[in-house]
Amino acid sequence: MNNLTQKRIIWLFTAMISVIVFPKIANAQQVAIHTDVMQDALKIPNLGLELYIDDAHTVQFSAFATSGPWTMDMKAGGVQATYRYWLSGRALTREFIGLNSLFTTYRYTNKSNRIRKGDAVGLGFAFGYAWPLTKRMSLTAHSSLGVAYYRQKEHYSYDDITSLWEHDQFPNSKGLCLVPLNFGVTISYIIK
Amino acid sequence: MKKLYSYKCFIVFSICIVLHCISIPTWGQIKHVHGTVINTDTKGAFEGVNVYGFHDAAKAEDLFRRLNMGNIKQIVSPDASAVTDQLGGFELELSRNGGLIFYTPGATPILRKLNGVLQVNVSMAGGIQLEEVTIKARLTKLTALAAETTKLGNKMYVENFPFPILQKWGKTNARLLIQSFCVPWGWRGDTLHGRRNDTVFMKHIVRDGEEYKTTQIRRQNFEKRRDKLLAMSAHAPRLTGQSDTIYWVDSVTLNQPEKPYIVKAVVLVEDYHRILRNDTILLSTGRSRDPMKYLEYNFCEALDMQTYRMPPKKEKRDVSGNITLSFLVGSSKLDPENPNNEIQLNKLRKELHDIVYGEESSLTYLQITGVSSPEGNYQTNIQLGKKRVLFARQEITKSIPNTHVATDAEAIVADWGEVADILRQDTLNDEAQKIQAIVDKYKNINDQYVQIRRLPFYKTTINDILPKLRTVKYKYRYDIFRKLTPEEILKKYQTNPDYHQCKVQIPLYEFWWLFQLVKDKKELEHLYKAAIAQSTQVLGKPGWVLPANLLAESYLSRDTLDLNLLQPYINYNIVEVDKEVRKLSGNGTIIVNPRGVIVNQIAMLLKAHEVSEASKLVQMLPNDQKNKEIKSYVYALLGYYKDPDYYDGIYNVLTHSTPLNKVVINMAFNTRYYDEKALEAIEELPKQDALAMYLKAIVMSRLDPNDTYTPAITLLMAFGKDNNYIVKAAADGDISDELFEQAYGMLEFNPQLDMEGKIAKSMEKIILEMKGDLCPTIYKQLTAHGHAKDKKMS
Repeated sequence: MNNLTQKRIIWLFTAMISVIVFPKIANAQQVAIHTDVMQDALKIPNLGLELYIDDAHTVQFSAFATSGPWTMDMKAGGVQATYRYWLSGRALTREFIGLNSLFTTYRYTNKSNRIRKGDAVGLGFAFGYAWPLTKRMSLTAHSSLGVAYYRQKEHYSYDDITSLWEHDQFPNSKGLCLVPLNFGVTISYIIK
Repeated sequence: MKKLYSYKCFIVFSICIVLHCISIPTWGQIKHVHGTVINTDTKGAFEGVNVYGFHDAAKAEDLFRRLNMGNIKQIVSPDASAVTDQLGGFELELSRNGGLIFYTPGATPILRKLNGVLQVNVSMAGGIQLEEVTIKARLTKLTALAAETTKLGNKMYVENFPFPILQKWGKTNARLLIQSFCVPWGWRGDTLHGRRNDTVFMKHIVRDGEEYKTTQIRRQNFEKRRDKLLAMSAHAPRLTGQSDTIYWVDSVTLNQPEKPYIVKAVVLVEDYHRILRNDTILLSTGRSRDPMKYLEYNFCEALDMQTYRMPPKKEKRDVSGNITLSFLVGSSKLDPENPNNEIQLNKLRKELHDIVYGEESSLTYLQITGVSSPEGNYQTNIQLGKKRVLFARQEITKSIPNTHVATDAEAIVADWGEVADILRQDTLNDEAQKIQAIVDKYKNINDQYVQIRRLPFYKTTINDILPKLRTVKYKYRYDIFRKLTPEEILKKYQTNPDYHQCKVQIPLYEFWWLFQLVKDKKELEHLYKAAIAQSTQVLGKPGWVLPANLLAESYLSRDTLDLNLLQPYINYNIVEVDKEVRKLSGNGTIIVNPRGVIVNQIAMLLKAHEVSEASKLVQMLPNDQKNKEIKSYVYALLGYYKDPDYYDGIYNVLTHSTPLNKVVINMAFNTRYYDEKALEAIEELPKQDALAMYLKAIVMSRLDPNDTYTPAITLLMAFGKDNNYIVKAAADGDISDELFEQAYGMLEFNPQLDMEGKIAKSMEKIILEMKGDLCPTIYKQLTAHGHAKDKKMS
């Protein structure tokens, strides 16, 4: 897949999401802020907005950034957009299914000093369950499984890769993979 | 000294003894009293029964009486009390001459006087305890509950109505909505389905599950008011998966209180998406206890005819006439030689005098016209005529006081044409023709005179006619109160069809007499209606109160109702009867809220079962002896007979009014004490009266619920006397299914009670129409028999 094709895919994906989501966002009745407590526990600060489109439909946008959870050598940041259909007919209550999209950029070094640095775009099927705790607060367990397209530069830390960069061979690894796009436990608070 | 000391000791000892005796209560020695209470429904121990002990048995009797009246708010403090334990046992310390009251809500209280007995065992009917058993059994299907509904006037009271919430309805993400409603039912086609227009809705119950409530609040954007049901359920218990029972008290105003009402409820359970359950269930078959419906009362009060008499109508009359006065020729003075002048003048003077000085008449206008004969110069004649007319007016008005009577005087000259007319009347046609020819030829009256004077018959004929033209004409107008005598009015009513049918305007004064003269009730009602309509036109709204009240009396005498008839004559802003209020014009007073009107309206409202409306009016009546009876009836129908403040008045009035009322008021208490009194009172009713038998059956079944045989026989005898009591019994909460079934069953073995089979047929018809809600066992038998019969036929 050449660069042009990749850009087209990204634009097409963005356009599709926009067409579906933005008219609904304009009519959003309620807005909730949320944070994924599991990610927070992993020192991945994140914050998101969940917009009510109607009783049974919400869209969620969230962003995260981290510079190494625990002892891991990792830097990452990304944004997610999720469309949720609540089977119970009430948002933030009981089961939901939906579509989840992800864009992330990362740099990760594993224990054997193998570095992966690149970007990924993913689209997946989301599902979960929410418990309304109070009038304004809900707890949601959620997960998303989907396909991610990544392109990254992959090398060991001791590899001399300067010449590779100069020869425009970045990234040296790309492909599609089936991955969990996210999973966690979110606490939401309806602010409006 | 020793003697004195021992004497003192004796006195001190005696005082001590006396003081000690005083300190001991008069009720005697305290003893340990114990016993057991048995529940007759479960045949086991009755737990939780309150046992109130009184050292004085009279106090216990007093409390017993109050409890029997249903008044548990004013319980006197007992000297000792206990609650029965799991084994139904109790213990307390009490005087051996004291009394015990056994009481638990829903059961008939029991009084036991100790009289030295220290172990007291009693049996009580379980009453409301049965509901708890129902809940423990975990209902899976709802059936009609024995809900106590009481009807008072047009209000139906539902007290401690137990509504079970089944376990299967419970979900935290669901809402339960119960809308109960009353529907009247009858036996003619509409049966249990009732008629939609007459549906009366009761309070609805909303129970939200916790999750449902939370999400619903979010849905309403955190404004609870946007969802009324949410606001209603805010403080109510949450819907859970547990079975529960809701008790609620409600009262509804019934549109047709004379009919039995069934109580139904729509139960809706919904979650976020859909209605999970939509059931209509029957809560009560509407067989409410309402012995007060048999209360006899008959109020009717007439208004004083003289007070509300209408004055005769003032009418205008015009009268005109001629008098012929002879004046001296060429003079304005009367001819003294003509006696006729004085006679005619005196006649006119007398007429005017009678009018002016008459009690019911007044002269308003007088016109005098002096007429001169046409011979001679016209101007001279006019001047002479004027002088004569002024003289005549002076003479005529001599007898009239100088009042504000408008008078008018005018002088005219008769023309020659009138002379021709007189000649024609005297059959002198030729002469008349000649004069007419001159009148037609000459327009000037002076020229006419010149020509006519030349006629040969002027001196012989015309000269004699001219004095006849010298007259004084008069015209007067006067107002008079036309006052026909009662005989004239009645004759007019009997002879004039339009007057009889009230097609012509009849003065209110004459209506007033007709109300007293006409005897036929139908005709009288027609007259009342016409008088109301006419008085509204003449006097403005609301019109004359007398015919309205007379019509109301007539209606009441034949049990006809028109609640709007007297309504316009009642002023609710003045809370008094017979209140004299100055008229707006400032002249005289009017009576607002005449007592007769208020009493008759109350009577109509009671007959229409609008007791609450009647209660408003009854407050206008002062609390005196005159109004005691009517007030007692209204308060009794409102249910105040259980109120200690009203009890004495109501109970005394009703028990002393009629034997039936004595029975009814005792039955209304629905307690053993008063039921016994009711049974005694029934003996005073005619033995063969169907109502007496019917009431006796009820009272007997109340006094001994286990014995259905004797009440059933009595009930069948009542049915035999009057078939209508079968329908009444089916709708009566006092007639249990068992009693109805027993009565039906006994027909088979006592054919003499129903020789023609009418009773059995009617009972079967009602049981079938009630579709199992009345005597389900017989219903099953009848339907099974019906199916078998159908199969056989096919």
